[in-house]
Amino acid sequence: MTVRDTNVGDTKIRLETEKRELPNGLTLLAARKSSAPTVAMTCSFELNRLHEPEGKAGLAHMLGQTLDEGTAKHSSEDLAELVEGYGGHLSAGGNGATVQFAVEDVDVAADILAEVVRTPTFPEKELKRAQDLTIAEIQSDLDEPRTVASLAFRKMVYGDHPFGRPAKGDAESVSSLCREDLIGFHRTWCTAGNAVLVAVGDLETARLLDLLEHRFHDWQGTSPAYPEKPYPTDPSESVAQHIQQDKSQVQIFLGHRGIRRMDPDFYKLRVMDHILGSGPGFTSRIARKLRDEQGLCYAVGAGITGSAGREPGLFSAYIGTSPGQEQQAIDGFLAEMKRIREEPCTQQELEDVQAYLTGSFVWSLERNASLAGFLLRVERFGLGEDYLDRLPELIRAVTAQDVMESAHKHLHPDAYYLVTLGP
Amino acid sequence: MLSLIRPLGARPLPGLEIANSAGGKPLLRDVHHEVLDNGLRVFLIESHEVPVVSHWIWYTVGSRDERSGETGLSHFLEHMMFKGTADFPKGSIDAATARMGGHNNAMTSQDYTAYYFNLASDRWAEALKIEASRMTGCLLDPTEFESEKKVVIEELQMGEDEPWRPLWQAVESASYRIHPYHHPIIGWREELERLERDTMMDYYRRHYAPDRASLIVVGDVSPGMAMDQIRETLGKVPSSGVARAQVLQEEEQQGEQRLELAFPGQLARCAMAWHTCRTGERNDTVLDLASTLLSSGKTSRFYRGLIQGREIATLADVYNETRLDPGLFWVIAEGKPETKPEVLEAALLEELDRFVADGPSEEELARAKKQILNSFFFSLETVSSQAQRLGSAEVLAADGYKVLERYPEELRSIQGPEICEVLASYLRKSNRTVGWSLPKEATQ
Repeated sequence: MTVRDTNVGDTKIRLETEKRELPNGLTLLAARKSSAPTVAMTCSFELNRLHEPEGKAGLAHMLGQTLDEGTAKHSSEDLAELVEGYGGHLSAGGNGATVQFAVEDVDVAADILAEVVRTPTFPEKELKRAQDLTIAEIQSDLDEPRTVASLAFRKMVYGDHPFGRPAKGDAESVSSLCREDLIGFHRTWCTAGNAVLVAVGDLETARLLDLLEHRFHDWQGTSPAYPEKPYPTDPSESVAQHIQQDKSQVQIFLGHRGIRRMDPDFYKLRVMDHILGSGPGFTSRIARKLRDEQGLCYAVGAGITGSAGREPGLFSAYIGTSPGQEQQAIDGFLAEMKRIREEPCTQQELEDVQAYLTGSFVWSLERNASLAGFLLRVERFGLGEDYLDRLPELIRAVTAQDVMESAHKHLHPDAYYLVTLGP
Repeated sequence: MLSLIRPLGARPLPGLEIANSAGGKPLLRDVHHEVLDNGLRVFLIESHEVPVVSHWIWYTVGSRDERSGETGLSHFLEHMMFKGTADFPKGSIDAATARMGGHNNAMTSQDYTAYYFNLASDRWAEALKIEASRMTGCLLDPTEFESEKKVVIEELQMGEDEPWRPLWQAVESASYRIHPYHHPIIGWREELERLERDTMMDYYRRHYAPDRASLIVVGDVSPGMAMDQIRETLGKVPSSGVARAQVLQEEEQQGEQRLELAFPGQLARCAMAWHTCRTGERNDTVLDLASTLLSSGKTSRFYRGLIQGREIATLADVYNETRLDPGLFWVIAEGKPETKPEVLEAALLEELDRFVADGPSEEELARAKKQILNSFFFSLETVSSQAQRLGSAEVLAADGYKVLERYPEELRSIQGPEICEVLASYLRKSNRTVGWSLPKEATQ
C-alpha cells in the first residue's frame, strides 16, 4: 500500500493507493476516498473500433449496450431490479463496466461487476431490442447539428480507418450483428489478460482489493495482440466540406489528425492547448478573441491533447456562429494557429497556464469514478506510481520555446480539414 | 425538486449532476447558518477530507423578476458580471481563478442567479473579494455591453438549433399565460436586441445587494475564521432594503392546450407539462417519488412499458420541475422513426393513467426511495454538489434549506395511495399542455 501526501500544484492531498497483480495476469488497483460513504468499481478492457471485425462496425458499442442485459445468473430485468433495489448505478460501455453503490453495499457492487463482465449471455431478445434502439439513436443523433458536423469532420480526418466511423456504427452494420458476434467478441477481448480493475471508495484499500480478488482470481484467458491499422496520409492542402442545413447558426470544425497520449510532446502541447483554445472561461487566445472581443459566438474552443489516447486523437477548433461570420471565425482560428507556431507565448501566459494546470488537477480527482479513471490511465499508459508527484514538474518544465516548437510541429494551418454545417 | 436543472450558464457547461447515514456518515452534514447585519444569509458546511472549497453566491433574481420589455436581462447581466468591476477589470476574474487553479461559472434560472468558485482552501477567500466587488461595482461598460449582447444572441440561436429547447420553450410559454415564467430565461430576441445599458444598470441596482443573496461555502474551512473573512468583505456591502417584488400568479388552466412545431430533423419529440406546486411543499417530495418511479432506471414504468416493452420510444422521461411559484411536471419522449406521434402520446398517457389508478407496488416504492436517498450520498463526493443542493433549496423553498433536513423523513412517510391521489389531482387533461416537435416535412 502506498500512502502519499502529494502536492498537486501547491494543493496537498493525501492519497492512499494500492496495487495487486494476480497470478492470472490481472492488475487490481484501489484508492481510499473518505468524503462520501460510496464506492465505485470499474473493469476496463483495451477495446475500441480497431478491434471490430470487417463489416461489424458498432460491435464494441453494442457490447456496451448488452453487457448488462442478462448474465448467467440474472435476466436483464432481474439485474436491473437488483442494482436499482440497492439504489446503485451500473453503466456499461464499449470498453467495460462501472458500478457505483453506497459503501455498505460494496459486496453486491463487486458481485454485479464480476457477473456483468465475466458472464454476460447476450440474450437474443435483448440484443434485438438494443439493435433497434441503437438504429433509432443513430437517427436521433442526426438531429443534432453539432454532432453531424463533428462526425463529418472525423470522417474527413480518419477516412476509411475505423476511427473515421461513428462508434455506434451505421444502420446496416448494426442490423447485421448477431448473438454469435457478441459472444465471440466478448470471449476474445474481455479476458483477464486484457482487463484492469479499479476500486475507489470509503474502505481500506486492502479490503477493496480483497473484494475484487475474490471475484476475479479464477478468471482466465488472454487476448490477441492489440490490432494496429494504418492511418491515411495527412492532406497536402486544405480540404473543405459544406453540409447544407436550415439552421440559425453555422457549425464549424477545423483541424486534422492529432497526437497519441504517449507522444513525447504531450505536456508541451497540453500547455499550448490552454494558451490557444482550451483554457477555462475566456482565458485562452481563441475564446478571448472570437467570443470576448468579437462577439462571434457562445461556444468556441480548440485543442489537441484532450482526445489523445492510445490512438491519435484530433486537433480540432470548433465554433457555432451566425451565418455570414464563418470566414471571420475561420480566419481567427488560422491566425491564432499561425501565431502560436511562430511567436513564443509571453512568460505571463506560460506561468498562468502552468499554475492552472498544476493547481486545478485536484478537482479531477474529486469523484470516486473520476479518481478510478485517473488510476486506470496511469496504469494503461505506464505513467508510474509516482505520476501524481511528477506531474507538476512535467508541466512546469515546459518553456515558451517548447510551446512554439511543438505547435509548429503539430499544428498545420496550411493543410487542414474544414467542415461547415448550416444554411 | 431534485430533477430538472436547466438554467442557462455564462458558458457551456457539462451536464450538472446534482442525504440519515451510511458507513457512519449522515445524509447531510451540519450547516452553520448566520444572517449578517446587512441581510446576507451565510451557510457553511465543513468538509475537511480534501483541502478545497466550493463558494456559491445565490441572488434571488431571475427571469421571473423581469418586466415586459426587459426579458433576458437577468441572464445577460450574469454574463456582464465577468466583464469588469471597479477592482477587477475585464478578463481578470477568469484569469485570477485560473492562476489559482480553480474554476468558476454562473447560471441563471427563472428564480435565481448563482455564481460559483471552486478553489483550494488556502485561497478561497479571494472569491469573497471578487463577489464583494461585483455585488455593487460591476461596470457594465457600454462597449462590452454591445459586444456581449452579440454573444447572448449567439447563445439564443444555438438553442434554436437544438432539437429539444424550442419545444420546451413553446410548452412553457403556453403553460404560463400571465406569470413571468411565460418568457424565456434568455429573453425574447427583439427585446434583447433593443436592451439598453442603462436599463441593465437600473436592474442591477434594484436586484444585487447582500439582502437579496445567500452565500454557501462548503469545504475545508473553519466557521470562525470563515465568518471573520466574510464580515470583512461581503459583510461591508450596504443593504438595499428593496424586497423582491410580487409577480402575477398564474390562474388555473381551463382546458388542454396543444401546439406543434416544425423542426428540420428526422424524429418526432413530445413534451407535456402539467401545473403543479412550489419547491419544498410535501407534494414536491411526492412528485420526486413519482418521477423516479415513472422514469428513473431500467425498472421504471416508462422504460419497461415504452422502451423495453412496446419499443416505441428512444427515450421517455419525467421531470418534476418545481419552482418558487408553482412549477411543472414534465413528460418528454422521443419516438422511434417508425412510431406515429399519436401512438406514442396515447401510450404515454396510458402508462400515466395505469400508474395513477394502481399506484406503485411495495417493492417499486422501496426501490425509488432508496434511489433518491442514495443520490444524497453520491452528492457528498464533491463539495460543489453539496453547495449546489443547499443553495437551490435555500432560494427556492419557502422555509429555505430546512427543507433538506426534513426531506428524508418526509420521503419515507409517503405511501402509494398518497402518490396516486396527488398525481390524480395534477394530471388532469384540463391542466396540461401538449407540445410536439415534428419533422418539417411531416408538418407541411
